[in-house]
Amino acid sequence: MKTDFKVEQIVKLISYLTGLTGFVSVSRHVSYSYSLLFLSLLILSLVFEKKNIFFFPRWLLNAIASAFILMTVLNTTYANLIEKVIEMLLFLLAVKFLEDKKSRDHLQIYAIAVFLLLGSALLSVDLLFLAYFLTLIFLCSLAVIFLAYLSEEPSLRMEREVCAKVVSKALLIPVFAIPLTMVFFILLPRPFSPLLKVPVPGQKGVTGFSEGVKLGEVSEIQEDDSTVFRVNMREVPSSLLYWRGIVFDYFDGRGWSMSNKSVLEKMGRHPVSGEEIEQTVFLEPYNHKYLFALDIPISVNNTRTSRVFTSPLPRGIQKRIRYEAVSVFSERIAAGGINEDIYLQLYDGISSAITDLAKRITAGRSGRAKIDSILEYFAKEKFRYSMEGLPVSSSPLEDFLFRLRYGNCEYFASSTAVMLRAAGIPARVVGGFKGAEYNEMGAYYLVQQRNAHLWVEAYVKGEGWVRVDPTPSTRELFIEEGRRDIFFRMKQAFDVANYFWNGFVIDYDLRRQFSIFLRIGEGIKKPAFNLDLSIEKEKAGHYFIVFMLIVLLAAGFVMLLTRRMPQEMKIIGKFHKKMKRYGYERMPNEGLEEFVSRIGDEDLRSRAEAFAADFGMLYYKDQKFTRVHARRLSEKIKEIKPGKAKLS
Amino acid sequence: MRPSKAVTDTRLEKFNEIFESLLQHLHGKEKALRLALISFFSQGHLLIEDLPGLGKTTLAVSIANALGLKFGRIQCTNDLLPSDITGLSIYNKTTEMFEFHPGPIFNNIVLVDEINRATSKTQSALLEAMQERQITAEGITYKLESPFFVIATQNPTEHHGTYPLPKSQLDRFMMQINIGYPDKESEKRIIMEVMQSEARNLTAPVIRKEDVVDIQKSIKDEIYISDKILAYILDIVKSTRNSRYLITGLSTRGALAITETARTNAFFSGRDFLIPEDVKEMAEFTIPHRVVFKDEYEGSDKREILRSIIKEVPVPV
Repeated sequence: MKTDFKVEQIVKLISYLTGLTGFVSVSRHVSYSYSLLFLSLLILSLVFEKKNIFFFPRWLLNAIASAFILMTVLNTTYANLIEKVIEMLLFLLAVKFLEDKKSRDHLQIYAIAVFLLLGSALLSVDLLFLAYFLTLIFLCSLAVIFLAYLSEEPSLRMEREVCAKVVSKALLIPVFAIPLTMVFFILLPRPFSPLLKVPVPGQKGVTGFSEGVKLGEVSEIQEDDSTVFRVNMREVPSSLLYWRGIVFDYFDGRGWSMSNKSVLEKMGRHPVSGEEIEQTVFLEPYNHKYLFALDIPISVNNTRTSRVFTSPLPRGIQKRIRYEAVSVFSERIAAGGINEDIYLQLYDGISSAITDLAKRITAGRSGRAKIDSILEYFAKEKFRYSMEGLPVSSSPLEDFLFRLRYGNCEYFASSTAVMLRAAGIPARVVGGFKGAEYNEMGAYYLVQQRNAHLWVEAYVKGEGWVRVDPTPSTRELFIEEGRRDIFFRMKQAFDVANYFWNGFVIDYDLRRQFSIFLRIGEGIKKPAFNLDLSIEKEKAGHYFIVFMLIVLLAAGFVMLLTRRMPQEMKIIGKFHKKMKRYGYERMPNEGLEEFVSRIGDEDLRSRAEAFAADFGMLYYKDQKFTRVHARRLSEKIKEIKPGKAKLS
Repeated sequence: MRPSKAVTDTRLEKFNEIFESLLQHLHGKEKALRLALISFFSQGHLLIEDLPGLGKTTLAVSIANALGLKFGRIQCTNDLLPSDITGLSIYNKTTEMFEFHPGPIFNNIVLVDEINRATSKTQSALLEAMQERQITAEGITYKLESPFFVIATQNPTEHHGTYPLPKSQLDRFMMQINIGYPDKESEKRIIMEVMQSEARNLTAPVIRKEDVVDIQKSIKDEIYISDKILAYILDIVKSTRNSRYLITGLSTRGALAITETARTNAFFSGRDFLIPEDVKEMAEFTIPHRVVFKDEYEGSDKREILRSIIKEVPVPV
């Protein structure tokens, strides 16, 4: 029943797996045509492998590879450098597989696969990278072991058990590498974002946040699933989930922007009051400079937000950052007086149709009632939400209001703000996100580009700024669409892993580590029972990391120790323990048979003898203790019982 | 290659047959008989040290008979000459040539009675023959019989006119054993049997010479010795060399003797591999005559001292 494999076949299998891992790690970054080319060449080489005929001579393959490299080099620019190099490596890898492989070819395959992984790291570093990395380490160390066998004896065959043993040993290499990696982890500075990713200027036609709103340029908007930020906080009713980012006050007929006048406004800060809520936000690099927080944010990292309750940074965010924000749940911002010039601005060439409409539907009303009348108008006239067939024109608002009667939040918010202004109510547009997915496993909200939203703030005398969201609630359906598939929970679980990876691995810098060590130092100096149970959140995070490190190290040591103890020693230890319970202790100079022969109880002795004979047979014949043996022997130990119930 | 279990079993059966049939005639000598057979099948020589009249000769003769082997006997006295053992060339008048007349050593089993009564010269001639398994007389080398097994006896308390064997020569004996007094029941049966039949008909052959050789060979080839056991043996050897009871420890030949006898012991126990118990059991009979005890321990029970030395050595598992 013994199956054995040719070592050469094993090495080939590992090489193919390594190559595939390398390919998969970069597959996100190469075009479909390259992926297809690579995979089809791989299949071709598998066919060669099967028939053991390598159709192409080596010189031809080398010539093709050289020609390809030359071609690629000619096409390479600074911007696409990494992609081109990856494509080149992929092609070389495929060519390597086409050859009749010798030891060095296998080694070259491993090297290329590692380079591919490195290339992928230059483009993006995320949790998947770790998975590929560990897989490659494992495969490569395994391959080197088998290659060593192969170079000794090319026709070597290996039994299944032996293979399994080698594989399990090789599996330990990444495990042992982890403590070493930790040293580097502590010492090396961490890249926060892909090392070489050239920022792509804001893509149009994709849902998402931007620092300016432009209407009438694209007819169709696609949902974008990429994550913008995650917010660690308690779950709140979804109607409260307005994430404020930017405030626009100037409309030129087609787009919104900041006039900067509101910032220069000589007014004092408007007070807000209500229930305060703290948030820890992990913001992905998204190229813009605004920080987000629940409406209405009053402070970010203990710094008060701007007069319009936004927190812009000096420049765009290029790396993942983390900040603490405090917000107040309030639908209005009390304000004594405002600079009405800014918020009543109307653009040149506004069609009279709009102003007439505004005046007509708000006629005879005042304050809040004016706002409600506009919202009622949208409802009554059955304006609907759409992201397709949007007006591409120079007068998008007119098209939206009078011709199409459908659009996305940009159209609803813009037209509402304009109509409010036309009706004499100061208004501004707020950009940010609405809604989010609460991840219960990680206790955080996940906000994606698809959640991007615009809404309006109107100034009602005596009340202050009031939030007005004219976009129909059907928007929610669009957002929700595709979220309830069977993979949803899986995706969520994966996102939790990502969340922790980002929070604890990527964002983990030396300064913070020092602070952890300092904290540990403090903790040691302080009496241990002084530990406050209500540790603040951040501190808890640190303790968590330290705890995990200790657990990992301990686990490593335990593994080291148990690994060092061979199977037979574990079994004999179990036997000794059991016999001790019955009052028989074996002397170190006592042979196993000698020991069991002095057992008084007959039943106990005969069972112990059965174990001793079996164990001795394996041990003193230098036979390998397989799992089957171990199980059988353990079974025999279990059977050792005295004749009558002597222990009771 | 490991033998198929069946082969080993038939050999083991044969051994048990020998043992049982011998035991019928050797009441109360079970232990001595077993050790003698171990020594024989390990292809080593045996030294029995005991008082006269305890059945040393009976044991030797019985074994020879049971195994269907040629038996010779040498009674040592202080005027025994080497040629009395090896044989000598005598001039033949008719052929006008010297003819070699082999001595009693040209047998499969040779009983050397009271070896310490022979002179040193004779002793060394005998022991040389035991070691080399050949005799050289007048320039011609004569091979001894195979299997070749010497059982020598000596009386411990006889001091007058004895030439004690030097350690170097004791080393040539694989084992040294005692027979000891039989228990009351066995002794009674011995006396009864002697009374009933005048001439004690000793055992009839149980197996053939070829079977004996076959068993010897299979013990040599088929019993597995683990490195762990070898390490254990060497640990014991080392501890004899460092022992506070001993002046000199065990020789390498001694270590070899432990290994070989332990191997035979394993075979006789129905195992095709060694366990520490084999080693321990044999160490008592293979070590004491090879090592030199300190003067203060000369008088005490040497086996007991040895046991205490072995006790210090942990077994492999």
